[in-house]
Amino acid sequence: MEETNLSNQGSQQQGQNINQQFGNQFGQIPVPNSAAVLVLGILSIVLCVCAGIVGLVCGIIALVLANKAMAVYKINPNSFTTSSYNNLKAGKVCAIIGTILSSLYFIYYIIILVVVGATASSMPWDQLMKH
Amino acid sequence: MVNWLEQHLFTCFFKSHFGMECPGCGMQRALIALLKGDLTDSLKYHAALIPFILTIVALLIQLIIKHHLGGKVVMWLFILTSSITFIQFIVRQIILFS
Repeated sequence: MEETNLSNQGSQQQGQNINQQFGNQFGQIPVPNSAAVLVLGILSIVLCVCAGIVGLVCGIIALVLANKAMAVYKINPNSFTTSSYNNLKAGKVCAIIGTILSSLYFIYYIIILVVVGATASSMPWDQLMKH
Repeated sequence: MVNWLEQHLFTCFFKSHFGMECPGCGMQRALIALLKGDLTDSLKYHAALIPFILTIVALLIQLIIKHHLGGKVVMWLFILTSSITFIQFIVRQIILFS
């Protein structure tokens, strides 16, 4: 295990050296899905309407994509642009906030609906209708 | 344009089915008030509309120019928007049930 770790570190260091030598001109590509994560993360709060269901779905998709992209980035950080990684990080934070808020709204509405439903069904409707 | 918008408002799916306002309710009215130039009314209908518009504009700009600090700007605008929406939502619920 340690040997593989060491060799990984070694290759990373080598990559950094190459990066320092050649700068950003050395064929860096954006992290996959970084823009999509940012957009979905922001949509997750925009679509918090309708009791947060749509926002919840968007937020979870964004989180999954972000985690995958993070893993890809960490294997070889030097081959991706910094701006796209920053986008990815920002999108992940947005997605986390959006998911939490959407789920709060969702839970709140479910509680309210259950309470309202329980009160409405326990009302003596038959007697009220006769009057 | 504003008149056309006023006649073609979407009714919130949630509000029309359950009779309760969702966190985004009031945004269209706020937009119309803003287009009329009435800032106080706009803030009254939905306080988070202006930061929301700024967030969307910042997001579109960031997707085009891809600046390395742009993501942070979008993120903080997003946090501002969502926190204002959340506080407004809580305040409205307290008013509703008090």
